[in-house]
Amino acid sequence: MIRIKAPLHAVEDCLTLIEAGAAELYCGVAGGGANYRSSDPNSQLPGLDALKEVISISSSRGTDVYLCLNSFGGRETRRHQLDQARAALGYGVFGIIVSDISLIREIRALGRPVKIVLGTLAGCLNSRSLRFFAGLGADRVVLERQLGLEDIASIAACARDAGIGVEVIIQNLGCENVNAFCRLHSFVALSRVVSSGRRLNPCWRRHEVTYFGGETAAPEVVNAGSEDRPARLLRCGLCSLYQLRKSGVEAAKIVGRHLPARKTARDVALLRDYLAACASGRVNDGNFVAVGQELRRAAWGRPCGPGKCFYQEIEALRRGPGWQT
Amino acid sequence: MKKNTPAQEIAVLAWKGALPSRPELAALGAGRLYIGHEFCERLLPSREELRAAQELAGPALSITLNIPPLSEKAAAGIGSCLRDLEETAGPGAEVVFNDWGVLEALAGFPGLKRVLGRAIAAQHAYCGGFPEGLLDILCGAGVAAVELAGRPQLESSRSQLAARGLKAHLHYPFEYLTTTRYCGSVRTAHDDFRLDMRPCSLECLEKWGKVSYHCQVPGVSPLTRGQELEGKIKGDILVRGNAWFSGEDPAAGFPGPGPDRVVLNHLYFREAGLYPFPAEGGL
Repeated sequence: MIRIKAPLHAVEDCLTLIEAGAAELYCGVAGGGANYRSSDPNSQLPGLDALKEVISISSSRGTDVYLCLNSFGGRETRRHQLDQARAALGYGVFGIIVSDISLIREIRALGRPVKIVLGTLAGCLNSRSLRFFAGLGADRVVLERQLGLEDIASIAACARDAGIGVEVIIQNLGCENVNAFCRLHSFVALSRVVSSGRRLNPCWRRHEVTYFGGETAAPEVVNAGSEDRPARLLRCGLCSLYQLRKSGVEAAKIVGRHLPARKTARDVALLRDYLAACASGRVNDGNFVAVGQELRRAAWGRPCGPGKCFYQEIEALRRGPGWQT
Repeated sequence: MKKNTPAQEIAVLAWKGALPSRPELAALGAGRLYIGHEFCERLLPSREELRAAQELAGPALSITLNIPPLSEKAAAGIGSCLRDLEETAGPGAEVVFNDWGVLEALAGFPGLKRVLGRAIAAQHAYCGGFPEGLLDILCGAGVAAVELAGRPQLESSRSQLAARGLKAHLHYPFEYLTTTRYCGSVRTAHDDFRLDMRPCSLECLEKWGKVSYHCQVPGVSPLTRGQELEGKIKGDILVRGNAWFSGEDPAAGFPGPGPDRVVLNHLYFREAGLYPFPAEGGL
C-alpha cells in the first residue's frame, strides 16, 4: 500500500491530518534547516519544542514524522541542520529529508537510526542516479516531479533491486522548472510578496517572453507566469495512484507546507479513499480514471476540469485520442 | 580572444548542428571543443556527430561531452554514448555531467575525465561555497573540475576548489538560471504542455527568447526588464530551449584570471558578429 505523506506546519493540525489518513507527516522547523523558499515562513513549525510535540502525538498513533533539512546553504545552514537533526533524533523522529547528498553521511555520523529520504531537490530522474544515491546511503528517494508514469515504474523496479524506496509527488504538482536545477527561487529581488505574505518566485510572477529567430519573421510575445492563475499550479495525480501502486511506489507526497491544513486534509482523505477503492478490488484498468473523477467530485463538490492532471498519460486518457494536437 | 594567464584554458561550446569552423575556433583561441548539451538530452550528439566533432578538433583540441539531466530511456543508453566518446576522442576527452547517474556510469570509463556540470553546481550558487562533504564525494569519484553557475559562484568557491585540487570552469557570457520542462522554444507553437510528451524539431537551434517582467512597483514602468529590478542580474534574462540564462553584465567584460577554464558560447559569438575575422594567426 502506498503511504500518504502530508505536509504539516502547525502542531494543532497534526491530528486532523492523521485522522484524514496520513501515514507520514513532514515538516520543517524555523531556523534555516528546511527549504521554504517559495512560501512564507509560516510553512514551518515555530521551533524544536513543536517538533517534539508533533513526534509525540504522531508516534502514539503509528504515524511517521519526517523532518525537512532540505535547503542548500553555507556553513551556518549546515550547522543549523545538524543541530536540528541531533535534536530530532533525540525526540525519536522517524526520518529526515535532505537535498544535499553530503548531508546523508553527516547525519549517519550522528550515530542514531533514522530513515534518510533524498528529496526532489537532489534530482533523481533515472535509475542510474537512483543507484548512485542508494550507494550514498539514502533509504528512499523522491523522484523529480517531471517524470512520466512509465519512467517511474522503471525506476521503482530498479529501486526494489537496490533495496531502497521510491516516493513521488502526488498533489499540487505544478512547477514549470526542474526543481533540482532551478535557481530562480533564490532571486529574491525578482520575486514579489503578495497580500497573503507569500513570496512568488520569478517563474510564478507574470512575465513576458519575446521570442526571436525560427520561422517567424517578427518577434513573438508569450505571456507566462501564473500569479493571476494560481490554480494552474495545483495539479493533481489522484488517478495515477492506480498505476503507481502497481509500480511499487512506497509513498505519495502532497506538496505545500504553506497550504491550509483543511485543504491538505481533504486531499489526504481523497487519496486515502482512492487507495481503499484500489485495495478493495473496485478499481481496474478500465475504470481507474472514472473512479478518481467520481471520488474527486464527491470530495470537492465539483468535477475536475481539463488540464488538472499532472500525469499527461492520464490527461490523455480523459480527453481521448489526438488531444495534444 | 586572449587568455589571462598561460595556464588558463579557452574552450568553445558548440551546439548540435552548428559546429564552429576552424577559423572561428582559432579566433577564440580554443584549446577544447564542447559538444552535447548541458540541459537537453535531445541535443546529445549521434556517433556521426561525435566523429565530425573529433575530426574538426584534430590533434590540437580536446573534446568535452556535455551530458544533461537524463530521462530513464536516455540514461539507459548513455553507456554507448560514453563508449563512442572513449573510442573516438583523444586522450584529453572528458565528460561534464549534470546528472549524478552519469557519474555512476562513468565508473566504467576510467579514461574519461569527469567534470561536475553547472546544473548541479548551481544548487550551491548562493551558499558561499560548496559543502566540504560534497567535495569529498567529488574527489572520491575522481572528479577533476567543477563548472560554476556564474561569476558570483566563482568568487565564492574558487579558492575552496583549488585547495581540493579541483579546477574551476566558467561559462561566458551566460550565467545559468534554471532548467524548465516546458521548453521555451517549442512552447510558442504548442501551448504549454509538457515537453516530454511531444516531439520537437530542435527549434532551440534557431529560436531564443528574452524575458520581461510585469512590475508593479510604484514609479516604475509597468513592464520592465529583469535587470531593473534585480541588482544581481545586470544583463538580459534569456531563454534558449529548456534553460534560462542571465546575460553577463556587459560592463564586467571578459572573465579575468580567476577561472581555470573559460567556456565561450560559439552561437553567441557567431550571432552577435563578434568573431574578429580575419583570425589573427590564421588556422
